[in-house]
Amino acid sequence: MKKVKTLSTVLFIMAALFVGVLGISYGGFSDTLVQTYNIYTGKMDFAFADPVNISTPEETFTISMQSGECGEAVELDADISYKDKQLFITNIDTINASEFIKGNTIFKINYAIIAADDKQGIRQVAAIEGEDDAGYNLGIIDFELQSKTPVWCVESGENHWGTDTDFPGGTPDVVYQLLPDTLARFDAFHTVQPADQNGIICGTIILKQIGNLNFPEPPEIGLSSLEFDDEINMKIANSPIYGYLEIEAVYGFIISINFDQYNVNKGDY
Amino acid sequence: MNQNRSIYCNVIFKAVLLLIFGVFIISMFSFSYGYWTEKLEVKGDATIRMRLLIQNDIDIDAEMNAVNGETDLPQEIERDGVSELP
Repeated sequence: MKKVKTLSTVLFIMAALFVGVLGISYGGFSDTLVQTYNIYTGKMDFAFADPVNISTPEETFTISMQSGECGEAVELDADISYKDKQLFITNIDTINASEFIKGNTIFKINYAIIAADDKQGIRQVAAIEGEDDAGYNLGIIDFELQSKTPVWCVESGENHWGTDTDFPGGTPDVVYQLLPDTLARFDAFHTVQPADQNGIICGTIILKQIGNLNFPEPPEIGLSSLEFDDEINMKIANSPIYGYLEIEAVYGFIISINFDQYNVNKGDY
Repeated sequence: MNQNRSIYCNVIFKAVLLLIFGVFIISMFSFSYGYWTEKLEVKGDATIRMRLLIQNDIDIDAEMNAVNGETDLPQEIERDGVSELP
């Protein structure tokens, strides 16, 4: 009984003290002028640029290909579009697989971005302009096989067999064997220019091929590999004109772009 | 009976609490994953063409025989009305 009374007394005193401390702190808290400031940390938030702000949109989003560092850059025709943070480069001009045999193919992709939040976000990324600077390394990019069913055809003189001729034997197995799952691997680098007066930042992604494409050299295939029936083999073998096997497949790639915000020069802002 | 009812209510209460926590945690994971992985991406595809010369590596004579139904087995020779093998 005594213990219960003692405990009750202690609890009562503690409660009274807590209430008193609450009152004192409230008084101290409310007896001041309050000013509220909003300070935002910068965030890296960019989106591909609105064409309205670009003076020459056709020259801004481009893709080109060249053989070796000293090769002539050839601009490729493609359907280029973007939505917010994704840039789509589809239906690129048909490329011969032989371009990848030497292992020195280089792609260059030009694009433009702008800060998504003009008021809050960082409006300029660190620029890399020097020729000696290879740029940010974005890692390894693979060209992966997209199409499950390739398009093929065999031409021999006036005869033609393939996907568009309802060939009864279906696609020859050798067609699938000739198409690698990974066409080529590229080392990706990224350079960025300072923003212009409209806040548009132009960048270039450079893809440098690593390794060679494992492709028959010279590009030949035996008639027996096609596993055609005898009648077709006869036609191809007896034709005065050489026969060719042509295969087309779609290869795709995805490049994630990273930026460095910590090396921005004050003069660039 | 009152005790059983009390236990039952406790179990239900804990189950509902667990469910709410689980939904909350999954939502936080989804939100943070989306925020973390949202970045600029370039996606592209291209049509690659391969053209190979077809080399004739098949025995044409054998093919012709196969097409005409002929075989390499010795044929019977008919002489003076009597057939005999060579």
